[in-house]
Amino acid sequence: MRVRMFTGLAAMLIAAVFLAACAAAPAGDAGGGDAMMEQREIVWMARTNVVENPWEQDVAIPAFEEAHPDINVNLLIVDQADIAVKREAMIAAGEPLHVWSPNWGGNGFASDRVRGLLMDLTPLIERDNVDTSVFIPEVLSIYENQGRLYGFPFLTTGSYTFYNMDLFDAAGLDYPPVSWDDADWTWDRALDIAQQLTSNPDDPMNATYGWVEGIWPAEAITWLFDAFPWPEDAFDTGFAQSINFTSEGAVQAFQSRHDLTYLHKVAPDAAAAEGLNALGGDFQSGKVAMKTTGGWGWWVYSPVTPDVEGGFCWGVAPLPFGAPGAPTRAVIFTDPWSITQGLEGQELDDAWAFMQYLISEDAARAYMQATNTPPTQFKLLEEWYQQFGCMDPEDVKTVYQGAFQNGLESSNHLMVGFDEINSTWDNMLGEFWNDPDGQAADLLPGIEEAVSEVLVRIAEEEDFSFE
Amino acid sequence: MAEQTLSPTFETTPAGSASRRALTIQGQERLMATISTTLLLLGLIVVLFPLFWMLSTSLKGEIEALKIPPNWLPVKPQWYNYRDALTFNPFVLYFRNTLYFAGMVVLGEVLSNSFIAYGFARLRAPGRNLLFIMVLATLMVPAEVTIIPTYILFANLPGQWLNSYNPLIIPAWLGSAYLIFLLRQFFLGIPMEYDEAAHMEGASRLGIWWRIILPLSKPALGAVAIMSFIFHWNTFQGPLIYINDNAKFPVSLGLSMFRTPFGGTPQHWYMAASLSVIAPCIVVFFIAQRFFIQGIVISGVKG
Repeated sequence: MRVRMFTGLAAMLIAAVFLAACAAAPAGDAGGGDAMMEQREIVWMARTNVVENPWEQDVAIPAFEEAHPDINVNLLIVDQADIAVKREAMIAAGEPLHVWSPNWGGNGFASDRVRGLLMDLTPLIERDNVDTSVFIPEVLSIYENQGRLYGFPFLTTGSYTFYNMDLFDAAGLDYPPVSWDDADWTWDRALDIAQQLTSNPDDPMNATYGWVEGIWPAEAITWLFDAFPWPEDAFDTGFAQSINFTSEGAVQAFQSRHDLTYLHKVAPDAAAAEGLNALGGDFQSGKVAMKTTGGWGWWVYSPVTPDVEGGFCWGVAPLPFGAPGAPTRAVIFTDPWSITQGLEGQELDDAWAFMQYLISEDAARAYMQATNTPPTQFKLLEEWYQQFGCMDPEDVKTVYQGAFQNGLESSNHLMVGFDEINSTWDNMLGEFWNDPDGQAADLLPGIEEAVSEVLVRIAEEEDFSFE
Repeated sequence: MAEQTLSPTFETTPAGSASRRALTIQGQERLMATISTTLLLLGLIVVLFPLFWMLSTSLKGEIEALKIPPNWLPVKPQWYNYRDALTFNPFVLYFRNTLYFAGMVVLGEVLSNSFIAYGFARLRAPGRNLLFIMVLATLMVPAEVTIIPTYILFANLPGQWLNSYNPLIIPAWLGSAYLIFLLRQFFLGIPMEYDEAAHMEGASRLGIWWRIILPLSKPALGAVAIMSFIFHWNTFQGPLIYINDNAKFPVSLGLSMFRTPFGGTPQHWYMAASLSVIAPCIVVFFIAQRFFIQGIVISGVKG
């Protein structure tokens, strides 16, 4: 009987394994005959994005595969929040992954560079004599380190003040300036406008808020107040021993942002802000007069036009001066395409061929036109300035370019271990943003200490010496 | 006279009192029914409100969906949002993939877990309880801890494991601690006399499991099947890690493809697709809710 039982068990397990392993999956196993079998494949990892994905699937891949019929591009689309865990698993297991962007999910470019995950593209550039002069030099150099280029930037933007022109018109107010050098465009001036445009701030469903402050990462609010908190060489090395959150400017910066909600009542509190975003977006709702945030507004707000139901005209202005003459105000966000370190031979050539296609003028133009994202090549910028119906292209140019003369690349791209650094200050600031009586001067010394401890530990874990 | 006087009093007073009591009880019952109906209706509103919101948003235009204060009902219902959302990504394919994957897992979990639970409930062996505790202990290990080691394990196994459903289906055929526990508890409630009688008739252990225990455990097996189906219909992390080909995505990954960074997610499509994706689960739940509730009773899991 025992034998029968074990025989039955074994038969069942074998059947289970057989069924699961051999049953053809309903999709993806269709096969394409011998010709398909001979093709080489590269894996291109991208983030989920209803604007970018159609370009990748319907424009970029067909164009590349037509030019390279022997290479098949497998587009792997993953939600940005989950892309890091997927990438970590694939790289750890040695699974094929060829072209991807280190700034989408995870710790960002600096961490991936330090961990040796990114291919140095310099020898390939020299071998094939690739003309890198088409790129904006300051943008290209972000992904250079010690003479090695680790990625080609494909979109870049600063941080700005996005404003609802219809609300300004209705109140009879002048629009904010477009020049980053306009010394009158100060925090107090913006606050004054916000106060004039705010109504019913205590009733979120019927409120119009004058100013939603959304500069990210959180530390970057200090830049406006001439209180850049990082050591001078931190963005070059990716490491720092400490962060300065207790300078007079830093305290003033965090307190000023807090006061927008609780003292001046021109901004939603944390709960209302969460609700607005859960409903689809605060600025897009038409109930926010100004929003200071990263330059993703250029493309995220692009569906909002006066021609659509509930739409409106919007414009873009510099970030205001928190302190007179603050030299660095804008956080710049530049995303590159990179190739996984360790590829060799034909596999590397195929990935490089695809990279060359992605940085070609035609591909970059198609991407720009499909997504409204700002390009990284000089030649395309003039075309991009024309894409905003409510703003004069010259004004777009002035405000867009000004950010690069008054900004630095974001710490989330240039600091090693950014996720932990970010969650450390975010967790401690969360209570402050929710506390009407919160005082930045009381809170910031603790955050400074905690973040500095994390920074030192990250450097130790990566064997980095500050000597 | 006194009797005559008293008698009606004697007769009417208790009767009136009883009648009043009956009326009072009836009134109390009516009041309780009204209160409970009101509470249930309030609960129903709370439960159904998200579904109503999803439906309403799914029928709005892209910008109308972002409007504040929101329109409770769409100005002009846009039913084609469903067509657009379900064709923006190949959802028909995703539904087929999910049915295949969830179906195979349900089959495996019902068979293997009932088999393993039968062993724990009925067979005597040294170390059985220790083994059972070890099985339960696996519930304490967070899935996040094992993601990358498990992925590397599958990557190094011979054959095609990654970018296939095998790492998701085959482990399900080898037992799940929670479902083993649930079924074992149910099997312990079946009298041993059935086993003994069948044994006397010459039935093997396997025969007892197949012919006696499984037929008597239909409510529990139904609960396991429903819970397993709903869980795997919605599961995200496993397919995210193991599936590398968009054409093999299940609906959970298909839904995530609407998520666009920085607030660019098209809410109207997202809601239309989400409603379409949860529809099969709602149908399964209503068809088999008796089993599902039974499962909650068996496992003692609430909320």
